[in-house]
Amino acid sequence: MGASVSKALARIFGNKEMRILMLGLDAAAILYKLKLNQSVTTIPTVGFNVETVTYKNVKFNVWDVGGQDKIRPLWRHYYTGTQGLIFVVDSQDRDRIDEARQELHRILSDREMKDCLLLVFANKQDLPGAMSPAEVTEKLGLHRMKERSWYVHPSCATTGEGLFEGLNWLSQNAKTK
Amino acid sequence: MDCHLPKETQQIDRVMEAFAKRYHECNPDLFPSSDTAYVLAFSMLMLHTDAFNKSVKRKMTKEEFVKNTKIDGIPPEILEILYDNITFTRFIYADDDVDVNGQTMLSSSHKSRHSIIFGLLDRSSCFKNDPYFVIKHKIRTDYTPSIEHIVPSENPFSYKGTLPEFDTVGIHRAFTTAHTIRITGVRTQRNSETFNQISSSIHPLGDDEGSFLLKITKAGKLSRKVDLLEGKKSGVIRSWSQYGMILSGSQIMMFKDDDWFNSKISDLKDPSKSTILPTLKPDMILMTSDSVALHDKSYTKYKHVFRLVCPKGNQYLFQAENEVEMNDWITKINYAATFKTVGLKMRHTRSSSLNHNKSLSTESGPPKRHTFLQSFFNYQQSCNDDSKINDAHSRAEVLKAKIEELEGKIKMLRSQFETDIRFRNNLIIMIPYKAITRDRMIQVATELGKRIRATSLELSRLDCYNEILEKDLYSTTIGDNFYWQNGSINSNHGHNRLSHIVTSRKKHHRRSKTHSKYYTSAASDDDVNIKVRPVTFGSFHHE
Repeated sequence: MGASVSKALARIFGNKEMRILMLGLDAAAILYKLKLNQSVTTIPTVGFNVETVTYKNVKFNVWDVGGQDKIRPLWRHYYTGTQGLIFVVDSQDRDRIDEARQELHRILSDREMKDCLLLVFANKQDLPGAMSPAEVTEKLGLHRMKERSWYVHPSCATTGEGLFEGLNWLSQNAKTK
Repeated sequence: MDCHLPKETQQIDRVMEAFAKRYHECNPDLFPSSDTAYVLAFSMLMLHTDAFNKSVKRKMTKEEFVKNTKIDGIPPEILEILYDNITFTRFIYADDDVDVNGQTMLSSSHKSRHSIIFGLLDRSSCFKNDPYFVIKHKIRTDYTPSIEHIVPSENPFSYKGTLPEFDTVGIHRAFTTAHTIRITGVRTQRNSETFNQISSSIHPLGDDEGSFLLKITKAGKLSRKVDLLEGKKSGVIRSWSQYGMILSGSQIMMFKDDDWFNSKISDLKDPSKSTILPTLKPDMILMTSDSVALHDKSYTKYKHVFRLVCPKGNQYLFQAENEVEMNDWITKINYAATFKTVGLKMRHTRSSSLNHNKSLSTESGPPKRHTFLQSFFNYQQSCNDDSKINDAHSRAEVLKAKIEELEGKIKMLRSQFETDIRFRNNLIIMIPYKAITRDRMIQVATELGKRIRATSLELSRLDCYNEILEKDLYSTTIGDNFYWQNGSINSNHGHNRLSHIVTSRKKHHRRSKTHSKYYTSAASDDDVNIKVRPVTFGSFHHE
């Protein structure tokens, strides 16, 4: 009985599935933290992290992308149909925030990424001297992005703080498939 | 030692980079740089993730993978084969005891403690075609084609025949001292093999238009077979037949009429015999321009065979009586072809034959009529020293420009050749696991083989022109009396040339005067500063 009710509800509200790219240092750590709450059933495939995380009826299919410039063109294949980009920023590393900004703008400038949502995790908020989300917003030049939905959320990958709030924002803003 | 591939993309990235660097060091003939290996390794791991990670719903197709993985230095065909292999079976760690289905994966005898990524044992297939087994025991699968035999690894062609060195000085003398005959015209008869290709090179000359001189550098008999027609189509008539051949500076004439040629051949070669002939009627004329004669090491069916490659793609095989004759034909044809191709006259030499030519050529009708026959006697007629120096200067300038042009083309071709050889090396190490992959590999290898052969031919042709012009530049600026031997120039050139040494020594005083004159002016004028490059020219010794 309970199972059929949830099935019926799923039919009404829809089981959304989102393809998400995750980019930045510690992206994998965040992915693991998100994954911790789920049951692990399979032996992981040799290769990159691709995980499906279900949160509030939304299946997030997350790819941990990255690497040096030379291999960036290879990821292009996965840009198509991507609804969200999770960009993880080390809030403590002021020296490399400019580099992070360039990297972010490079990936977003791709035609296939035109309509995707941008979620920025201002990570490592637990460390002293970390930049605030407002500061990260400013350093990344997000205010200049008029056409895009973006959201900066403070997070801490080690404790998992803030991660699900971020996913919540993504699920609420994603266009239903 | 246990080492597993890390999970985080950034870490995988570093591991792949380090792996590629080492891989490229160990296999320097596969990729243009370690970066290529790095991007390729990364893309393969991505493909594997895409193919086997259950979270990836829509799998990459082969076309998508090839399109997505555009890497400079990796041919798309290699990516296709890699796609087949990567998606064939998933990577495992060799010390994994259990596969995803919870079954015992490897029997203990094949288990390796080294945590290298191996393919999963596919129980349904024969052991020999199991990737894990194949990699472990370094064997071929039933499907592995023999790429080495389909694609040649080296250029089999030599424009020097079987000789170690191209004796340009000796050949040059053969051309300048060639016996001249007087003919009233040339008419080509029908040309069944080549149809209308030759018609463009026929210059029928009426008897009333006066006589012409033909310098016969070489005459003799060869067996000929049409290998490829114009446009590289296979020849219709595949049999060998005897031809009488005459080589002059700008063309090769072929005569099928044995009796006529036999009766005339001794006359043609003998300067003392009467040399006035009526209209020549060769069955075929091939222009030497843009052609090259090559000895093909890979051709082993008959002995003493060389290949004549013509600009429109037609190729002929010629069989000589012996190796010496073959080499003589090859080198003389190539020498003539070089100067015709670059549009440069052969340089004049201070030999007695020059005066002989001069006296004959002045009688040769109005100079305005530049027919192809007249190009045989286009030797310089003025002989005073000053004009010679100026001639040498301008000739050197032209030569240098031509050499530079050739070197540019050669550089491009060589880079193409190297790319294709890397392609070949990549193909050779591919181990297909499916029949369809093998078939594709054979198809790719066949096309590659043809391309490498075509590039080899063209490279040999340009290398030939380049070497002859470089040596000519040297002779133009320094003089003829140094011989090319094993890459170095020796004025001391052995007993068989003794008579020549004597004659060249006699002239030495006069010549060295010219030298110093030349160098004085060259030093004062940067434009005509001839650089003797030690690498190319080697060292030379004065007696």
